[in-house]
Amino acid sequence: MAENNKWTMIVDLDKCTGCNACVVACHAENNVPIANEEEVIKGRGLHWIRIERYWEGEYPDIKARFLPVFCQQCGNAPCEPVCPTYASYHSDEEGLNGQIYARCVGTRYCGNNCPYKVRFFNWRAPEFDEPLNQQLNPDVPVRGAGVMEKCTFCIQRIQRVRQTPEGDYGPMTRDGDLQTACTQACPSDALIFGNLNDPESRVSRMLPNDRQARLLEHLGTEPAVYYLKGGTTNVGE
Amino acid sequence: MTSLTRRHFLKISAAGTATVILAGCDTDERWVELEPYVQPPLEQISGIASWYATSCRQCPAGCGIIARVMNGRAVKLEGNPEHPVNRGRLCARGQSELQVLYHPDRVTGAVFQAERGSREYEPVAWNEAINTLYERLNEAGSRVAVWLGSSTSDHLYDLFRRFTEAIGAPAPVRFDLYSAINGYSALSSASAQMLGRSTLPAYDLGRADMVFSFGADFVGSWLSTTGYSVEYGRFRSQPNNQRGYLVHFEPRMSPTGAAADQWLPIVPGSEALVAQAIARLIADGDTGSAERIERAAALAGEINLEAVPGATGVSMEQLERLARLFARAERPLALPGSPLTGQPNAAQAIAAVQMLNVIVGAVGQPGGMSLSSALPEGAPAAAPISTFADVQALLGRINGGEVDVLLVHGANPAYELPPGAGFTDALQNVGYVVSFNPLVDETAVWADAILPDRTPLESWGYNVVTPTFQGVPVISSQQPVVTPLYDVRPTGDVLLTVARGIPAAASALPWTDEVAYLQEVVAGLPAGAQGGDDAAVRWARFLQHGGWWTDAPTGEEAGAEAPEAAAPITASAAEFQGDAGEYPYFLHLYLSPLLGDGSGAAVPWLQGTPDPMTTVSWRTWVEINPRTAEELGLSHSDVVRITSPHGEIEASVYVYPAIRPDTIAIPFGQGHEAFGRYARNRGANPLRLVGMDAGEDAASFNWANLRVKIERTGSEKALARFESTIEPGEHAHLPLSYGAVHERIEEVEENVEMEQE
Amino acid sequence: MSLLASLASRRRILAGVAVLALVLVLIAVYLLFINPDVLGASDDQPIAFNHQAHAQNGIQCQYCHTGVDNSPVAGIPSVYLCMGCHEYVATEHPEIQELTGYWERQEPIPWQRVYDLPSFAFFNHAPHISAGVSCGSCHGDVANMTVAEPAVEMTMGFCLDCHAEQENKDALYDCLICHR
Repeated sequence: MAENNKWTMIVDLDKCTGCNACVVACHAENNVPIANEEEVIKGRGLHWIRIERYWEGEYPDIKARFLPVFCQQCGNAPCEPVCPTYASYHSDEEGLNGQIYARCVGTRYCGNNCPYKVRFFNWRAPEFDEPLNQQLNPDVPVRGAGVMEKCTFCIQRIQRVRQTPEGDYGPMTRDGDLQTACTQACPSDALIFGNLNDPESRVSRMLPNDRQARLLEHLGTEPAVYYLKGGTTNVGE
Repeated sequence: MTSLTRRHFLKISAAGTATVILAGCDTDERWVELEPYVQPPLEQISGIASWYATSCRQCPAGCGIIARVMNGRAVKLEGNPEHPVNRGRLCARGQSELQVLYHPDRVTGAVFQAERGSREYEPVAWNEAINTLYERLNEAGSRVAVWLGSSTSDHLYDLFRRFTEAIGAPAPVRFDLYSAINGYSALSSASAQMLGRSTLPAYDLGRADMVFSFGADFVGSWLSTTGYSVEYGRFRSQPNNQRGYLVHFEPRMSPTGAAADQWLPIVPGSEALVAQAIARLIADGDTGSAERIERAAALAGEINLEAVPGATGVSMEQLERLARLFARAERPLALPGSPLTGQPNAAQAIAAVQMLNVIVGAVGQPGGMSLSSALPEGAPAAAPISTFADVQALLGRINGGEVDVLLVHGANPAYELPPGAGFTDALQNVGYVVSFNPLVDETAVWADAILPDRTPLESWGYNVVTPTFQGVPVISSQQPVVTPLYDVRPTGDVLLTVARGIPAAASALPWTDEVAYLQEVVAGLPAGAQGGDDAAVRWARFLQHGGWWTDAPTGEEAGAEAPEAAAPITASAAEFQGDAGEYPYFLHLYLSPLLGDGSGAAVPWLQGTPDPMTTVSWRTWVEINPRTAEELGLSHSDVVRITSPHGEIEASVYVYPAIRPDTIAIPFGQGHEAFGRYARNRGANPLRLVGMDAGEDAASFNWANLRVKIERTGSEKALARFESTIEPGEHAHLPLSYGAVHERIEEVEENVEMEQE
Repeated sequence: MSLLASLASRRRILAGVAVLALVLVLIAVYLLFINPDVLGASDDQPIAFNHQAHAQNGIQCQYCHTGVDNSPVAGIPSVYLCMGCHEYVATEHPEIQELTGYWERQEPIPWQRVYDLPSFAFFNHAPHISAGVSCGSCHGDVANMTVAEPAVEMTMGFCLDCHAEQENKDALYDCLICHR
């Protein structure tokens, strides 16, 4: 079946400053708990968006690169076939990798098979010291212990637009109808979100792009996230 | 139902497969108890969000925010798309204002503390608290001092200023660590000297094509970070596929250094020398227009170019290249960053950098430098930030026993001043200390009373924005987005109530409450982009749109003209505190992009979010170049003692490859002894290494010219790093490490590069 | 102990653990999916609200459950809405006096949920109303109930049985429309 929507994210690495506005926006929107210091040291830190900072070269000719990595919403996702309970499945309707928490039994096979390491396991039940729980987004569940979770491209925002009071379910969703929490927050406009099936959308107009690359594309995962490599200057020399 | 609920059952069968298989089925977990309304707000439909525009108070920038409110709960903050500063975007700190609102350790009512420092607070009725404050103030006469922070709402500053003026006390001091480190008053006085008006400079970064940043971490923690990050996005993709070029001079790579096309690790304190050398080379060279060369010749001043490479760490070849780049660019722009303002020669250093803008004719031009737009007649003015001299004067008054009542709002001087200030000791000379802060911070620990204000999302107010963007003057509006959580009183109302009883102040503060005052101010505003013929409509639109601003730039006349006569640059390298023999390393301090000056440390979202450069969360670290670390036999997690001529702190080492080997760097933000459960007793406050020395103009204390020594303590404390802690090449028995992902990403990057070639 | 013997005893322990685990799983499955407690409790409402009396007087469901045609949730009426009528109507009735008590104290009424959907399933009322699904299809004949009782076991099968009959069945079969 053809996908109704093809949700796509463009990450312009030339503009990403690593500021973490997207990370906090995601925590707020998606009820992602904060891991305490001991948990982070154990490698149990949990953020649906991980801004990889990696170094190139050596002092003094060194550069720091930022690479925001989140679920790549693969067209051909390695997490899906390994799930014994079909918790990780492909939504043809939205072109997304769904994670159905109610089905998840915590085998973590999906996380092991994900080459991007963007799936996180809830090692314990989340805690929100009262009244911090008052902030929780009622459109998103709070995942309990033993469940795998990951970026959903803010599926609740997509559904908010698609499930109109008039009951129009199915029309193509267009730019301006919605943004994910991270693209909305991004101060430098490094994150662009839209529907690749809509030829008028900003993502459609930006792709293909001669700066584009997808992560680990050679694995055949068909990610829905396109990274635009840092540009070269046309000023000066 | 039996007492064995499903959840109990799951807890009992904690071991074995059953738990794992059923773990996801937490069916009846309800995290928030919903109550039906007694009487709903008119516009409220259950299950549909309401949106309220207000302004962010997590730093002084004054960004506009829109709060998403569901059934009376504020659940998300987003940037206000109409707002001329942040244009729909919002940084991590701004979004965390929600956790300030819902912080579990908020002071929920007025309290007295019988013995200062005991942390034993006795709840007290508001009437009694206000009455006591009234009696104290009434007795004190003019022997009153008010200490505000840079994020204190401007309307409160204006009310407090009227109050102090009426009772004959000095104007409120408005000073905190954020404004000190960012050099607000140093930059403002530089504006006054050069362009004739004391306000923050405004930079049209988005339209510049060649930016030289002298330590200005504008995407991390400088002045108006979200606004400048929006500008940075534009700078990278300008019309006609133009892409700006950014050069960043800083001894340690900050996020802006990482974003830069070229990062130059210059010797700390040598920014002004670099600027002057560039000016001199433009004057002596033949690149750029005749006007630029002519102005450079007049303004470059005297400099021994041969000594510059040694003093700055920038080769002559590189300097010549930079001078050509800057002279040739169409719209070049130079930014004077925070470290300049923390040096003894701050005024000189700022002037040297600003002079580069004068030389290339960038003053008042698109893509250039101007001053924050002045507000038209009838509008409130931006509340000034005090100089360190003002702070010292106040400390002098306190120590001289001239202050009977001290009121503190939005600042935390017990944490935010160098220990040499002896702030908490000085308080012994003050009869009555009142803190208005919603959390018990270090200052509130030494207060006699805490009369907690509402948090920003529960408050009214206005904020006059500086720096402005694209010449548009802005007053951000502030309104409550939720019903206040607790019985806490707006400080403005407390002040107005108290003032009514004090004969000298009553006529200066005639309003019944702060909203009446705000409405009067808004009614007096000239016509803005929001329109509105009568006062009521104007007030409604002020709240609805998130403030008042104009459609088009209005401020460009003021200060946009290049100065007619400017004195040539006289730059020198900063003098450092501490003998180079005893203290072999330069100390580079910086504001944490997440925790800022420490006022962000109270909330879990900011504590738990990885620092952009190191990925460390929850603690203080010391950045050391790998070569230096090797020489000293140090590696990640080793706890070291850093000693300056003024004090010492201990923190874990983070081996940081993008810092000069002769320099170590430490972020501000941690080291709180109070301030709620998430901040308290965590990391170290590097302000302990800073002394009270101030430069000639004493705009700020000298924090950027310190030398230190490093000693290992022998203990280890692992840092909470989100990055992979597996060394490259190390074979770990993990399915795929982050390191492996890195390698693959690099591989892909290389492929892309090859394809592009 | 020989190697073989130790292996054998370990195998026996393993078998024991496996059986135990299976038993636990079965108990849990019973508790979760077969236990009637999955339906909400209704007998402990703070006020014995009589749906029948209201419906017979011609009051539409939407009059009180105002959000039902434009919001994901139908909404529980505020005390204010109740008092709109009951300031004058049936003021002598003991349950109404209880209601008046809440209003005078300005306290919310702690209504108990009748239908308690699990927190990982998100139902949206508005599109169902627009599509012409009557309230009774899921809530039973509330107009003839006194205190509302759960009439339908709201399992995923119940939802999907209906979705399967719709024109845009494929879209309505996507997990993500209810699970986020």
